[in-house]
Amino acid sequence: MIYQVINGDICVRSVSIEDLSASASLFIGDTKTVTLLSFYETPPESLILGAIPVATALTPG
Amino acid sequence: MQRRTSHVKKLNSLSIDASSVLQIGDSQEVNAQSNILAVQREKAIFYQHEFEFADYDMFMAPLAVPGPTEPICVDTFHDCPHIHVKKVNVPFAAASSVVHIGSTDRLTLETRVKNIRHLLRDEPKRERRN
Repeated sequence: MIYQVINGDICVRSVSIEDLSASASLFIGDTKTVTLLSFYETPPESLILGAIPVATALTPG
Repeated sequence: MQRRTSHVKKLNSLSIDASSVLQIGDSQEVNAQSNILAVQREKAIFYQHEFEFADYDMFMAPLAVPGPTEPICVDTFHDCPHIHVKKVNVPFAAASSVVHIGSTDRLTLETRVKNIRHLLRDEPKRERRN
């Protein structure tokens, strides 16, 4: 695959981003390779019902 | 690859936390990884050895890096070798995020988030179906 890019001039007046978090990135410039990986887990068993497991919580792992 | 120069007149930034980067200038490679374990408990009582990252294999599992399926030939021509931005306003940058003014070759960003809700009610009784 041949991918050709011809960049004209780019003039931006203002960029405003409230906050960046969890490996987000604001890039002003060129990049050759971008790899984005994300792993999001909140399955049903993430909901725990019941008391705090004090026994295991206090003994060092 | 011929790189453009970035011109930023004004950059506003209030807080960049310990694991975040504000890079002004070119770089070769940027690697950012953040592991987030968010626990919401009915009563905010937390003990020392609870919720360790090592307890969850999701934070250890290797991730398959997506790659191009066929060779790609990229030709880039810059008619104008400048990028002009008058004003950049980034008040907060947290959890290994990157504010980068300049060019780079490789950018790898990885995020792993696990949410846990803990309600302190007693376990639901399993009704026996007869």
